[in-house]
Amino acid sequence: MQPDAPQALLETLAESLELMAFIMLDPVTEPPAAPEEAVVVSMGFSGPVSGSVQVIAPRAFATMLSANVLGSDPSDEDALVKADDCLKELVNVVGGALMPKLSTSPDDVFKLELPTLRTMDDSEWTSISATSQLAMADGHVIAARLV
Amino acid sequence: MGYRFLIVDDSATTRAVIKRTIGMCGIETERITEAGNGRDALAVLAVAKVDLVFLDLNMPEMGGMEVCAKVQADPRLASTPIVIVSSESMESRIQQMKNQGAKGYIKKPFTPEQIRNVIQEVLEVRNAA
Repeated sequence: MQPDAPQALLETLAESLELMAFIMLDPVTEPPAAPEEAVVVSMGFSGPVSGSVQVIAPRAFATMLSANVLGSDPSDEDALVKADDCLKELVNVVGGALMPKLSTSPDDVFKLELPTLRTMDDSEWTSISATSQLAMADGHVIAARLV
Repeated sequence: MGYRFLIVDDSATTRAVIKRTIGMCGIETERITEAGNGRDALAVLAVAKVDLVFLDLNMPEMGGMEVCAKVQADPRLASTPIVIVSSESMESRIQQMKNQGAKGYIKKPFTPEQIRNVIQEVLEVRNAA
């Protein structure tokens, strides 16, 4: 993996959030505490470079994301129901947009897997925060990493 | 009589956004059908006339590439316009889909204008044929 891949991931996440949901990322000013009720969304990819894109975020962020994308309110049932789906779609979008940045030739072909979502255990946060790009989005801490 | 659309994407959120965008395009719509994977999309196409298909690539059960190939191979469906809506943005992949007969390629995340423009382009071409 290229040394600048983590920065490319953060930039791609920021661009995707802005385009999908008008959400801007802000830098983290101090080490953030573990987000409450966080989930880990992963999407594997294989090709000239292989690995997995991971985004870790609290469920409250997923609901806000869903509401912004759908043009509704975070308290709307539709935004709540589609929150996990929307976070997975975000990772799908980020993964797809990241591949050209990881490739070395326009002829490269990557196989993208389907995004999966699981609940984060609080004990994972120390390791996740140490190996991720961290940012804030409307008061929610977001972590992104390539593994 | 309005146009009939089929939106194929495993993300319910994306289906909802495309559906809403079609509704805001100001074109007469008879029906908008949704499918969450390629297999369900082919089942819809087997029984219902569709004027334009929005098709994701990376889906469970059956992906968009296979749907495109099956539609092209079926003389009853081969003229159905398909527009790919996918996060995949490698030029090699986009060219592959155009070679498979896709009429357009919209990269996620998309803007409402992109959906509106492709609807106008594809359906105008179809009406002029």
